[in-house]
Amino acid sequence: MSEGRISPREAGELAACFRAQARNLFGYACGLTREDRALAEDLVQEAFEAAAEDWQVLRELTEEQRRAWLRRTLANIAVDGFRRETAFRDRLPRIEVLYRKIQADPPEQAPPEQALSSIALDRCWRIIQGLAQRQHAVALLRWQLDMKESEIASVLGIDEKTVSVHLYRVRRRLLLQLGRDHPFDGDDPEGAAP
Amino acid sequence: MRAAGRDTGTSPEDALLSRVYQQVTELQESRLSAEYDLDKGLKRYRAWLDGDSEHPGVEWNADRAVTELYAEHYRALVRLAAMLVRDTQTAEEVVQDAFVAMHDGWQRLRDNEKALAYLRQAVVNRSRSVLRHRAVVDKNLQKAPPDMPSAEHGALVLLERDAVVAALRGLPERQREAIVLRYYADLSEAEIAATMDISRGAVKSHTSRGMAALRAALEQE
Repeated sequence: MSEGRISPREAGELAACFRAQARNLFGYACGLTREDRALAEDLVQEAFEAAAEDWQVLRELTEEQRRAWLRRTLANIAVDGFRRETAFRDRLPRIEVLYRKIQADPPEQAPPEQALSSIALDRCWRIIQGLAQRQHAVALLRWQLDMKESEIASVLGIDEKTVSVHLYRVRRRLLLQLGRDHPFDGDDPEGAAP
Repeated sequence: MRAAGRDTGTSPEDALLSRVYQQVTELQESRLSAEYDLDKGLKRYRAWLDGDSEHPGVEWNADRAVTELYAEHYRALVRLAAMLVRDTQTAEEVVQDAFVAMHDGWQRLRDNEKALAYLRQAVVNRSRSVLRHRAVVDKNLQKAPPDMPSAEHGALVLLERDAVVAALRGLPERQREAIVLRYYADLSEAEIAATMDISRGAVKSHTSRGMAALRAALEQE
């Protein structure tokens, strides 16, 4: 499939990039797939296949920028998988042009936040692992990948109201786990439904 | 029904849950990264790069293997050579020669670990002959000031101070090599022994004598 397109020089550079980046990328993928390792391995492979397509751009970037690019690409490929109705793993699509064109901006560094207690995080992780696939997809897009509800609806091809319902349920379950030690517990946040 | 705002803004709850997701993922990431089978993944990726996903594990030929090593280790090897021969241009030539030689002998190496050891050895040997050649040929030539790429690591900054570089120059060849390999190239005792083709005991004595001499030279200042 790639015969003749990738020169020996590029192939060597790509393999070196793989050696430098794949390990962390796999860890990131495991977070997105809720520790489905086989799927995470597939996602890593797909992300690096995309990297080969865009190597002319990527080879000029720093390691840190490549890392950001690979993560963003891998997340997009995963999202593309969420879009399909049937079993996620069998649907890993060939990468579409839409998902390849990613700006190589360095990741925005959020100001350091107070770390949540590891016990609370552990409880949340267990909740996340137990979510239905569709709920997981919606929640991941909202809070991990920072998408708006309307974007989520269009990416997944579902009704915006459905997105809201999923988010409402997952939000409630997660907040319950954080309950005692987080400041917003019991608050009626601004913007709440009247 | 919903507790918080629509797309128009992020509620405190959403901000909190974003943090939860980020931090949960980071935890998983650090835990699971370590468990990744890099060799397996790399084998599969190379097979794809070779355009043959039906037959993974096809031969990773010399060109690709050498380019991969080049992309990964070239700079570090130039730094190593530059510490030995004291100018970047010669260092680059030394390293490039070593790569060419390795490419020619790839059929025998066929393995990245072995190849890296071979490269280091070749770089040290070639640096040595450059120095001997220089000592004979241009004794009278004014030396240009050392032209070193700066090291990224904090500990190295200390070792790359001009005074240290100057003091290093004053050491006997073997002691200088042992110290450069240990503290600049960050090799283990066994790797240094293999690279210099001497025993581990000899590595120990060269390194400790070299360090003692360095310390003495620096204290004199």
